[in-house]
Amino acid sequence: MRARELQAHDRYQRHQETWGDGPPYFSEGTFDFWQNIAQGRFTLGHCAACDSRYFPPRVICPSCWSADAVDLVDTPGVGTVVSYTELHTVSTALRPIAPVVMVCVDLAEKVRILTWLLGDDDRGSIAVGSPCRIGVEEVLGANRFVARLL
Amino acid sequence: MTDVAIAGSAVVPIGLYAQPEEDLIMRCVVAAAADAGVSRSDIRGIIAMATRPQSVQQYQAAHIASRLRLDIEFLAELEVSALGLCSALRLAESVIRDRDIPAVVIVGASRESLVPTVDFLEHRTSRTTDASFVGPFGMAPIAWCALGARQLLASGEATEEDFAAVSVRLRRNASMNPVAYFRAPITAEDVMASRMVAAPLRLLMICPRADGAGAIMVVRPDVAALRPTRAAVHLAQGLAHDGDNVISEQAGRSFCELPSTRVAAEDAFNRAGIDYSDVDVVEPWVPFTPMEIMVMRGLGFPRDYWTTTEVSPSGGLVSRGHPLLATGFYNVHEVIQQLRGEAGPRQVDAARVGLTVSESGNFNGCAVDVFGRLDGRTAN
Repeated sequence: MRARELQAHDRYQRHQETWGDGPPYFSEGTFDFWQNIAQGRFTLGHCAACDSRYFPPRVICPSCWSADAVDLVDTPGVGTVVSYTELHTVSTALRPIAPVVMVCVDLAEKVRILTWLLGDDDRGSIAVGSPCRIGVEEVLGANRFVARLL
Repeated sequence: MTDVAIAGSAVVPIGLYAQPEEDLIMRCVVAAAADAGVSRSDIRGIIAMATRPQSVQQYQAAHIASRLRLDIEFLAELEVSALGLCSALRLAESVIRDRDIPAVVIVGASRESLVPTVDFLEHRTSRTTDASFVGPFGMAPIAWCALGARQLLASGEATEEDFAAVSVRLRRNASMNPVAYFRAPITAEDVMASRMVAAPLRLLMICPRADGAGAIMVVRPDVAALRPTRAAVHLAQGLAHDGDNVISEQAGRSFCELPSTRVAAEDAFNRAGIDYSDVDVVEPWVPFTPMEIMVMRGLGFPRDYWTTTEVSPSGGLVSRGHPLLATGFYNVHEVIQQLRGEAGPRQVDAARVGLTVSESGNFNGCAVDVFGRLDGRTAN
C-alpha cells in the first residue's frame, strides 16, 4: 500500500501540472485517461482480468471487482445520440461557449458518454438517434472529449 | 387505530427572506407544537436537515434545541437530500417507539436566494454528479430533466403543449395556496412564450429557487389519540434505487422511464395494503413540469393521471416554490391539510389516502410515503 500511495503522490503532482486544481480531478483510476486526453487520445476502460469495457475508468473493475486491472484501450468512438439539450443558463466557466449543446451518447461498445456537441451546423440537425463520433478537441483552452455528428 | 403519528405541521410562506434559517425554524417549531397540541416538555427529540453550505449557522439541531430550551434526549442531523425527510420520519417513529417519548420534532430550512443560480450551477450541481466526467459539461437538475423531456418528445409520449398544460394546472392550484410563491394564473401561451432555459424546458416549466422552512411533530400513539381527526399516520414507505448516480453509465438505459418510481410505488402499496384507485392526492417532488409526466406514469398511474388523481394541489415545486431542504416539509404539510379537510378552496373531496413522492438524483432513488388519517376516515 505504501508503494502505491507513493506512486499516487507522484501522479497527483503530474496531474496538477497538466490540469491544475481541476476539473478533471485526480484519481489513480483515471490518471492515464486524462494524460491521454491531454495528448489528444480518447480511450475506454478495459479490464485486463475479465475483458469488459467500461467508462469512466476506475481502480476497481465494475464487472469482476479486480483491483488495478484497468487497461485503457482505443475506440473508434462511434455511437448514437441518446438525448440532448441546449443549455442557455450555465455556470460562469461555460459562458464563453453558451448556449452549449449537451449530448448523451451510447457507443458501439455499450458504454455511455456525456459531453458537448461541437459544430454550429450540427445544432439544427441533431436528433435522438443521430450517429456521432467522440473525439478530442480543444475547448476553453484545454483538450476535452467531445461529440460531432457523422 | 393507535400508532405513532404526525400530529402537527407548520411551514412559512415560501418567499425571499432576510430572516436567517434559525428564525424561520423556531417559528415553525412553535407553530407545529401548537398545531399538534403538545407542550415544550413533550418534545424530547429533534431531527434537523443538515444545513446548506450557504447557511451561517451550522449544527442547526443543537442550535435550535438550545435557543428554544428544549429538554431533549435525542438529536440528529441528516445529510441534505430530497430523501432526507423520508429518512427523518422513519427515524423519529423509531426513536419514539424505542425510547417511549411523547414527541420528536423534525425541522428544515433553505434560503436558496443567498446563492445566485450561476454560482449554484458552478459550485454545487457540477459536483453532485460525477465531478470529472459529467458535472463539468454543465450537468444540473434542469439538464437531466431536459434530457428526459427530449426523449419523451422524441418517442411521441408527450408534447411541449403537454408540458405547458402541467405548468398551467400547477399555477392554478398555487393561486389557492397562501404559502405558494407564484400565485398569478398563467396560460399555455404564457408558458410557450417564456424564454428557453434548457431545451425543451422553458422558464415557466421550471421551479423558482426560493426560501422556506418547516417543522413536523411526530408523536406517541397516546398523544396522537387525543386528536384522532387531525393526526396523520405514516402508513407505509416504499423505497427503490436503480443503482445510477444521475446519469447511467450503462448504455441503453432511458432518461424518462424512471424505473425506481414504479418499484417504490409497488413496494409502498403492498406495505400499505392499497391500490392506485385508493390514492386521493399526490404531492410529488418534481422541480420541472415534464418530470411530473415522467414520475406519474413511472409510478404506474394512467397516461391521463390528472383526470383521476389530484396531483400537487399545493401548486407543486414549479409554482409553490422550491426551498430545497424544506420542500419535503411543504409536500407533507399539504397532504396533512388535505387529510384533515383543512385545505380551503383546493380541498380534494373525501381525501382519505395521500402520497408524497421524493427523489434522489434523477429519480435514481425514489421514496413513496403513504399517509392516512389516524381514525381511518375521510376528510370532510
